[in-house]
Amino acid sequence: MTSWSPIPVLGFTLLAAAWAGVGCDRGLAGESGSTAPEPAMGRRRVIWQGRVLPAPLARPSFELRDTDGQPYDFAERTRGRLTLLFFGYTSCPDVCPMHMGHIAAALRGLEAELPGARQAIDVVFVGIDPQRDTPERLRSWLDHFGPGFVGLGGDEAALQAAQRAALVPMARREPGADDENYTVSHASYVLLYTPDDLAHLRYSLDTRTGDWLQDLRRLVREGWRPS
Amino acid sequence: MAASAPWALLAWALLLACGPASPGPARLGDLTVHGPVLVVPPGGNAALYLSVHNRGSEADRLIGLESPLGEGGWHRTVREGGRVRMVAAPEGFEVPAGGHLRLSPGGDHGMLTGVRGLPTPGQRVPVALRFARAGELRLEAEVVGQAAGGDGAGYGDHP
Repeated sequence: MTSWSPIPVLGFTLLAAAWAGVGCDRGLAGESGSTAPEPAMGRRRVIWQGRVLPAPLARPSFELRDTDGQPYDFAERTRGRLTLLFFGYTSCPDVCPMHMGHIAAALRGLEAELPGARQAIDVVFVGIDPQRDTPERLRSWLDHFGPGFVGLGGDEAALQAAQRAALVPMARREPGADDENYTVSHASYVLLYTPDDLAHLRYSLDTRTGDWLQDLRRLVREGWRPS
Repeated sequence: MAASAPWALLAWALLLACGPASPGPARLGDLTVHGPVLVVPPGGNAALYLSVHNRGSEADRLIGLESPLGEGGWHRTVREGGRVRMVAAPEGFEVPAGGHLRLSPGGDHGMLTGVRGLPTPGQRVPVALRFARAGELRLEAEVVGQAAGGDGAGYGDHP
């Protein structure tokens, strides 16, 4: 009875492994981005916590006023920079504080990990409730969450133009409550523009501090790339 | 036996005398309320989040909210595609039999309007909840200034 000689067996095994490795690589290279979760295959897969948009949105061009009352041209001021853009209002008790609170906590975490990283990121909050979102109120509301958040406002026409430019659902005052306590419906998500002046990612109401931190860390260190 | 009785009495006395260092869950009948927190940004509108567990065999309903901090009411946050809308829910929220009611960011929540001033994070604010069957439960909600939890845990995210 002959037994298998170890050398050919080893050689065959190595050849088989090498062939499988090559085949595996080719398979990955042919993939386009998919939304179905797949196990990470080494360093080629990137899983973003934000939702990857099927088609990226251009960095919008609009002009509003900042909390110092000065004109703020969004495209010009944020061009080439990592920018978070959110349309909300200061009388919003739930969604808007939630987004801003998590973003602020993530930025603190990011700065602790990567000193100086905070400076590379713009957070822009557009107050879409001109009756109550005065520059003073916007400023104190934003400062409550963290330093250096840009607050923008304007009249109805300018705010509508900004939302149209950003391709977000238009804010609407909701019927029902009185003139002091009315609510406003608005876009639920935060848009993120990368230095290529495109929004590849947007962040829903389910986004938490850890999700922000994970994506911002990767964006600051490695930049955007598709999943 | 006789010798250990005084020690047993002492132990009970200590147990009864020492309250918890921080408020534990508040209980009323079959209901247990966990983790009440208040988010109070400047602007006069605060959000209340908590969870209620109902171990009973009949559903209850959370119908009333009162606090010295502001005027209480209930709201739902409704998602419609990419838009979010807040809708008043004056009928309150069901606490299912054997289940949970969760009031959490981006979902159902309590709201206090007309809040004057800005309580500091960590401060405890008296809140009274009224349940249709169980009645009134007074507790303290903790004011939180920022989003809770470094890596994902949100308010009202309790088991």
